[in-house]
Amino acid sequence: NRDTMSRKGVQQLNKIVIQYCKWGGSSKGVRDLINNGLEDLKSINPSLTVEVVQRSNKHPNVRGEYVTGIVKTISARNEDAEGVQKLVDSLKSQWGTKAKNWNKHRRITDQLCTQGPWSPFVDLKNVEVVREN
Amino acid sequence: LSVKNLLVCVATHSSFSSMLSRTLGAVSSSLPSRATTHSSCRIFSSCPSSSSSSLFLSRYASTTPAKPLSSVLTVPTYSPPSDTPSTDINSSSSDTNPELIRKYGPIVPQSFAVVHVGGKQYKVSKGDVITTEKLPVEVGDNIILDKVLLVGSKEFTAIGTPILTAAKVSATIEEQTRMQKAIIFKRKRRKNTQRTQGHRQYVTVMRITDIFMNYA
Repeated sequence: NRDTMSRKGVQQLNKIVIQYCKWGGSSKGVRDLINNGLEDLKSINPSLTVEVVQRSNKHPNVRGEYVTGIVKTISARNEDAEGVQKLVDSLKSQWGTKAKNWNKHRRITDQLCTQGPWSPFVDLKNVEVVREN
Repeated sequence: LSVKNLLVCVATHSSFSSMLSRTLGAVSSSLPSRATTHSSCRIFSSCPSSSSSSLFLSRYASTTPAKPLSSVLTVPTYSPPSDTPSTDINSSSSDTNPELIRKYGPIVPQSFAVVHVGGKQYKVSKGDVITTEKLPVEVGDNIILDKVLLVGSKEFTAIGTPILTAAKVSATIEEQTRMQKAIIFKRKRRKNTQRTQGHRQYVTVMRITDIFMNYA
């Protein structure tokens, strides 16, 4: 089920751009990935476009462009091919938002109380026990 | 705010609860089997809906405390549907996998559940987004949450002691990220020592799709 990287069914990541240098030592892992494993990357998720850009004399980058318009860049400096793959996976599994403090809202909901709000007149004593195992 | 709305509310309550009582009555007459060591549950057929409607009355009629409904309302002219199959009440969106319904039981409509995930408990209903500790799943997976402690709807509350084995909650994984950076700052006063550390916790964000419960 790796095709969906989604929020309510909408795919969040549009495009991945891998920038590398042809001769720099920090780009070695990225170069290995491009030469050997790029087709695997592309085939896992066909709706995702993977671009490769050469930038000489610069350290390598992995950049993810999201549906929301946000661009997240992670440096792939001195990483193995596996490490670059992990960076791509981490971009895929994120939404296009800033990193939140999820501790503040661990549950986001639209539903208000199903059983009705409490009031001093709510009768909690006359409750029928229908079944007890 | 007319009395018509109230009557509809009462009718749906009665039809669902009659269906419930029929199924449970059938079970209670048969063998008391299926009691495993861990599962036992107490199902309460509840007043909350009636009390909320009596709240409704009391707000507009008078400020006296709630009386039972029969003393306030006359006999309603609406006749509840007889022996309708449960598909009308239990039908939710078409995204629900019919295999899940066959496996885990019918969907409980308009309900909430208390679920134990990652060392914490969450009160959960359909369409919620909850954040748990990192789980070994991938984005896009559909998972079933097993440790359900309580299921409540308008008509009943099922309390597990401690777990309801007949209830399941299904969810889809939406995100596997790290939270915002938390800076841990320690300082020893008057000793000229201080230390800064950053921390980003791994986290799984999931959206709840359905709450299933095997009534029978």
